[in-house]
Amino acid sequence: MDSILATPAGEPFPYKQYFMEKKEAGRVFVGIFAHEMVPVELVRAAGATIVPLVFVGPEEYSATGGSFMSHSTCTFARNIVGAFVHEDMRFYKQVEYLVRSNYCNGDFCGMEYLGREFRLPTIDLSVPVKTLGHSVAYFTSQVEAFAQRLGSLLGARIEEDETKRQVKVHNAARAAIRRLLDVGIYGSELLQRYQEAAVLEPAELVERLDAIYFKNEAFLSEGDKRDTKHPGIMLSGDPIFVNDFFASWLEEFGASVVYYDTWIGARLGETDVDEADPDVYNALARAYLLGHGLERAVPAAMDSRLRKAMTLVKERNITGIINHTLKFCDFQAIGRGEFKDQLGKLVPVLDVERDYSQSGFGGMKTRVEAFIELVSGGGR
Amino acid sequence: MTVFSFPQVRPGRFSLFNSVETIKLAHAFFSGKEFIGMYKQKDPGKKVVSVTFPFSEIIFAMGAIPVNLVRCEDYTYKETHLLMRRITEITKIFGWGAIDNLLKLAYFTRAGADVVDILCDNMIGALNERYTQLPRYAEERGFPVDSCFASRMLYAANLRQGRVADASFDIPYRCPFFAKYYDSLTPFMRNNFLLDIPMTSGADAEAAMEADLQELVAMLERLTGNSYSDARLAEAIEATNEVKAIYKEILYGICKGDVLPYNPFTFAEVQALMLFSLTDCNSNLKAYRANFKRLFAEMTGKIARGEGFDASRCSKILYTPMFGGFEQENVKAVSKLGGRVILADWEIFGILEPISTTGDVLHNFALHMLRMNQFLGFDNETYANTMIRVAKDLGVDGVLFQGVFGCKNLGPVLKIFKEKARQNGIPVVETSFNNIGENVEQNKTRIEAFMEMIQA
Repeated sequence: MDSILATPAGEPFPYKQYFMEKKEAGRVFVGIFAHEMVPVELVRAAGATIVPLVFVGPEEYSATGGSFMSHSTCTFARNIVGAFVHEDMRFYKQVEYLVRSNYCNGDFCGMEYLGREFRLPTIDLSVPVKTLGHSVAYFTSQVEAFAQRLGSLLGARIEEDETKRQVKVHNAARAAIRRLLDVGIYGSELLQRYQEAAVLEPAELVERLDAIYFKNEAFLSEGDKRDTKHPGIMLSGDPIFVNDFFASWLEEFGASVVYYDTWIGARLGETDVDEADPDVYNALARAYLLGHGLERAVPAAMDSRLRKAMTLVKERNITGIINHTLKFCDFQAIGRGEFKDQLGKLVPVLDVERDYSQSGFGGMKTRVEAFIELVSGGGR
Repeated sequence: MTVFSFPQVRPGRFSLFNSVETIKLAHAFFSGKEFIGMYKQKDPGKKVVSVTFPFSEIIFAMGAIPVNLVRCEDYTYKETHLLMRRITEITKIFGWGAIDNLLKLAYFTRAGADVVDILCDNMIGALNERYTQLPRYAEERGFPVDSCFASRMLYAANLRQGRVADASFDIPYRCPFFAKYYDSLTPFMRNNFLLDIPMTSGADAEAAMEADLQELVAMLERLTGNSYSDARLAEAIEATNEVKAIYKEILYGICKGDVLPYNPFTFAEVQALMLFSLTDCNSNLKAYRANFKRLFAEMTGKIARGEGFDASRCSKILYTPMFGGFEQENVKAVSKLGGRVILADWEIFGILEPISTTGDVLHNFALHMLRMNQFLGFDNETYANTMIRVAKDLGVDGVLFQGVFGCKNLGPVLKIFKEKARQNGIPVVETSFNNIGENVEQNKTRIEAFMEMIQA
């Protein structure tokens, strides 16, 4: 594992080997549909390895997934279901349990179909759509019930002390994720770190980031590598998942993203769980319900999103935004126009809606290049 | 459940003959704007609350007027709106008996026959015309084109008619996309309240449900100046309980039976009216209950007098889900091919179940809303099981599953439902549309093959 964690920053992370080693160590694999409201601390407190379903494949995976749900289910959820069917991602095949929530329709329906088709037990987590006091109380009860179901299925007792320890190490990892913004990396390199952060166990992530950045003298001696003349692009909306060619497209088109305001992005490090709260379930519920799922919580989901983006533009010296929507995403489609209108008053906004088809390369290139030209006018 | 005997019947040409209560139901449904205007004129302080699901009891109990904003559109299709206004004028002066007499008189003249035909054929046509236009209106104003039909239609209705409402009562049950849709109304809908129905059962879910209902009550108290009382909610629930019991009798007595009060196509339209009108009880609970009771008596009376339609040889087709909009051409196709359609979405969703009016009534109301979890539930397996159970209880010969492009929550049940239907020997056909009026020929072809298979 040490050698895996020391994989050079510029090289693709060997996820297959990573999961293979976990399996060889006898770990139980729990698949989590890649959304941000499942308290991963509990799954790790149960001693399981999380396989976040963040590894996407080509367009045909989405088509395959569509035959299970509907072709207007989000392209990402269809792609994940398709990836299980196509069996190219071996570690998906080794998933023994699935966490299913009502985070979005892709999660809600996709995990049910995966559970049925592959005879995988699912552990349900009901998430409220509101964030009022009683919503937190309800979610606390659901988090606790989730822990019980999880422990019972895995035959593991989830000890409170271990959960609290997990909260601590996850908070440490979140702190490390926040520090990433200060080490001078951007573009696909920064994205790769966020993708790894969504997969690795917290201690592993800290070890890796120490090895390649924070305690790497060679790296530190280079200083800030950021090209300050490069436009400060922020990517918002849907994240770019592992294996998605869109990241390399953006690089190729000259768009180096300096800030990823997505949940596989800076948001991974934004919300700590309150370690001082004696009720760890309540602490988890508050952190996940109130701190995550910005696009989901109602009312005023759009307002919160706009406020946050506006703050980031000012604080991070952002000169342009690429608002990224995956086709049929529950949360990004509504409000795209308003996002563009409102943020467009501050900086240029490129609204991109796409699926995993590569056929739009030419058109996308033209649009992104024109956008870069526009935002490059001022430099940074 | 009432059991009534079926005499010998003959098919009638004009099914709406002796159907004044049916016309009354339609008239109230299509005159939403006019009715709201009348109520506001009578009591200018009365508040109007937009609703989209049949949980209006709480709005009535708070002394406000629930309204399904789609009802406030002008139904200009073949001048239906003018006809509705004429009916209002006549009934204001002479009462509904005059309409009954006019229809009886007119039955023997060509012009009269036309009036009956307009009523019979054009009402749902008028609704469908609006249902065709509204999604396009929403798209033109930036609402996502690939979102489901219902969200586009409702968004447009809110944009166009939202000024009528002082508040909005939204229920984004099960579908997170719908929560986003409802939230998108906030900039132009005053007091936009989203009720969060937990997707689990048990004490925690009940407490959360009740707490959110209390939030709604507090908002309505501020809005109306009225205080909540269990007695008033119980009164409203008693009325809807009665309506729902009748609704069930119509489903399990008349729809399931061999004789229909109208021809199958008209009966499908009347069922659609029943289903859509239950959303806000046509904004007047007392009148709606009276209307519904007499409607049932009218239906059974027609059957008893031999004015019904012998449908004993017509295949029974459950058409679902259709509460967010349905394709009239599909119903026409089924009817033309010797079938008859049953619309039972509210039964499938558990909405027709009675609510207890004793004890803590708000808690009972919360339990009623949570009951949807037993019918639709946290998974498609539950929903598919419910559809199978209702299909069996109704004794249908097949199910027409109405897929809607863009539906991400109910649509994905289809694969599981088909598997279960196969195991239970229930034939299923899927039709789909993005907008009403699209895919009509393709759907017809599918329905033709389906009906041929069923009738073979």
